[in-house]
Amino acid sequence: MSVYLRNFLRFIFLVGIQVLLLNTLSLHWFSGSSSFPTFIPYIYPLFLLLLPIETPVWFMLVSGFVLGLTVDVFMNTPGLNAAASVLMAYSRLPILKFILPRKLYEYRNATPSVEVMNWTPFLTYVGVLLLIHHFALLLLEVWSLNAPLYFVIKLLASLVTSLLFVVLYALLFSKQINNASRID
Amino acid sequence: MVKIFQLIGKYWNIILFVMLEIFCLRLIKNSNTVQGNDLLNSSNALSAYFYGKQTQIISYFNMGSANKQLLAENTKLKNALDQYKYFDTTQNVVAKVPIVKYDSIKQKPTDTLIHTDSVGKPTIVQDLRPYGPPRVTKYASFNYIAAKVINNSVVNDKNNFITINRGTEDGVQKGMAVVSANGVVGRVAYVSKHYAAVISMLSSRPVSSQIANGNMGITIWDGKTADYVTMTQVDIQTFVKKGDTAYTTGYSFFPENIAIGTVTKIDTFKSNNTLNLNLKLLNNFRNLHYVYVVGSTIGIEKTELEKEIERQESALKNKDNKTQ
Repeated sequence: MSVYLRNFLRFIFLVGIQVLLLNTLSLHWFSGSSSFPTFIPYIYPLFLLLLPIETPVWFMLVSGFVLGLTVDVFMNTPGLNAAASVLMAYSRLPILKFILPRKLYEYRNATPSVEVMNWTPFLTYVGVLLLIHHFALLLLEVWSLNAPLYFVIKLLASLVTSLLFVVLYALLFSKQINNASRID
Repeated sequence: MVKIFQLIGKYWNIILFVMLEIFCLRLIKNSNTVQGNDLLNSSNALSAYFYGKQTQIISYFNMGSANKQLLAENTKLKNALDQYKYFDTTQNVVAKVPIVKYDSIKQKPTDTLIHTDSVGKPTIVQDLRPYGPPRVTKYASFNYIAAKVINNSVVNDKNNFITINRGTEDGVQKGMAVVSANGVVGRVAYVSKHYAAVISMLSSRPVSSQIANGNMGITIWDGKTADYVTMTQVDIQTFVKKGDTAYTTGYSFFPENIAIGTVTKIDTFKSNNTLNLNLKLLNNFRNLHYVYVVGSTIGIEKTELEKEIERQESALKNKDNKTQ
């Protein structure tokens, strides 16, 4: 499967999961306490995170914009997700440079994944970028820091749940792990 | 000039980033206005299509809780309804019927008909019609007290009673006629404060009745089925055919011209020159729900008058006994 087709399908899959499934869940960890915020996990940024490493920055930005806008159309929040996604897309390259041990041009035709990076760097990479995304998104949404504790709790809850979904996605779709389990 | 392009080329990424972010922020800002972003909301065709599909699928998963909600709502509504179940919604009606008097009677020659009875002997039936301008002498005022049947019996051989939820407090008195939308029901036999027992047509009490053109008879229940009564002592010269309707007369406690039943069978008794008509009751006594108690001002006047006659007669008898 070509890289373009695979990413296109991933775009549709992730947006579908996000819009049709995750947005309809309103989670709250402790159902008893009313002060604990309800939140939803965001998994659609994974599309940007899994683009090939050598993707040019302008394409990252445009695809982030299109991705965010698509989700916005479904969520009735024009610009919110797009702004967060663009910010995340822009800050991807510095994070990658920071995390990957070798120079970036050495990773030809590679995508950031568990096989290439191993679990800890991959999760760090995903975690930091999702944190940026979630922070921007939630901040734009509430547009104030009147209740910082509430904001932080909501951010962390959403982030952790999103990361759980990312791990699930990685376990489901990475070839190496699947092959290894088949050998076992 | 070239330098500017070089500068743009160098900082192309950050310029694009800032432009996109500004555009996004403008979108966010505009989304709170009335004009909003008509294209960028979920009412557009594509997202609406997807949301429609999603709802189709998700509604299956929600079925359990939706059922529970509906059940709870049903229970609530039923409870609310039960509060009104025994709420009395029946309404009383007052009807004014003009009592007409004619000055003269004319025999219409065209209406003199020759009929052949069952034996083959021709009989002449004279049709007398009121003639001249009618004069309204009085209005008979009927007070219809609506009542609900709360107990009903049709299986007794002798007398069947119906209990209704109206009593003396509602104006029901002993001896009043009880009718329904279809026809006669019976007559009030016992009254308490809030209830009354009605002795129905299905009892051994005779009712004065007539068919179409005023030939009278006495209708009585033969005690067999709840659907038929017999009209006896009808003049043998009466022209009657199956399917005719029998009505009450004004002679009894019933108001005039209330339907009793339709003729299903005609028996001729030569010995005393009468007909026996089998009437199918128009009321289904097995299925009575609402009835009207008829309070009639004229009726009360009439019964009082008749009682007065009875009293005088008995007084006369006592006198005779004493003289003897």
